[in-house]
Amino acid sequence: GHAPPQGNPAAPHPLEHAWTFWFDNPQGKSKQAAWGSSIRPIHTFASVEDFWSLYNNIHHPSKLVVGADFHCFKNKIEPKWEDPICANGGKWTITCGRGKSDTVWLHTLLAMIGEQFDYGDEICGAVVSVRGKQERIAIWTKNAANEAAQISIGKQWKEFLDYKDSIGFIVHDDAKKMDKGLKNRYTV
Amino acid sequence: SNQATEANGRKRYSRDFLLTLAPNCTNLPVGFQMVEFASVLFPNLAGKSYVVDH
Repeated sequence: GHAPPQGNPAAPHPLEHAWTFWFDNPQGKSKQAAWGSSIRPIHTFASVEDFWSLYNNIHHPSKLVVGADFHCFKNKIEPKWEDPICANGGKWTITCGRGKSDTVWLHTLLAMIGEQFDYGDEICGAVVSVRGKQERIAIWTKNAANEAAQISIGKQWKEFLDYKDSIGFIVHDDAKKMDKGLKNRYTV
Repeated sequence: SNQATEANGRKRYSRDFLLTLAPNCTNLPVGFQMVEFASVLFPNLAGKSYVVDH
C-alpha cells in the first residue's frame, strides 16, 4: 500500500518547524483512565506538501465526534499542561458554533506553519475541541508572563481570521487551580 | 508572487500561497502508519491507501 510520488516531488516546500498532529479520542476515554492517556500522535510533518497530504484526507472539525480533541503542536512538544515547554504557558481561545470551526481551524494552522506570527517562537501549537454545542479552537503558548508576546499573538490571530469579538487568554496554572471563577489574564 | 520569504532566515509562507499547493496533495503522506482510531479520523481511508492516484 505505498502511495506513489505526487505533485512536484522535486520541490517540496520545507517548513520552519516540524509539527505533529495528535488526536484525543473520546471513545477511548474511561472514568478510570488518567486524563491524557487516550491521546495519540497521528502524524509528524515538516513540509507544506506533507501537511496537505494529511489534512486533505482527515476529517475536519465539523465531522469529528463530540468530545474529540485534535491538536497540531510543534514536534517534541506534547499537548499537555505537564509538558515542560507548556508548563508555564497559557492559551488564547475562540469559540464557534457546532460545525462552524473548519475555516477558523484551517486558517489557524496555515498561519502557524507558515510562520505568520511575529512571536511564532512563543507558540506551542493549536487544538480544536469538539463539544456538544460548540467547537473551541485554542492556541497554546510557552510563557504566559511574557505579556507583549501574548498580546501580539492574540491580536495577530484575530487579524488573520478577520475575527471581531474579544478573546481571552487563560494561564494554565490558573486553570489547574480552579474550575470556576477562572479569569482571563489578557484580553484583546 | 509571495511564494516564500525568508525573513530573518525563517521559512514563511502566506496563506494564499499555501492554499495553492493543496490540490496537488491528495494521497496520504508517504510512510503514513495506520493508527488505532483511524476510522474516527478518516472518512475513506481504505480507498485512499491503496488506489493509485493518476
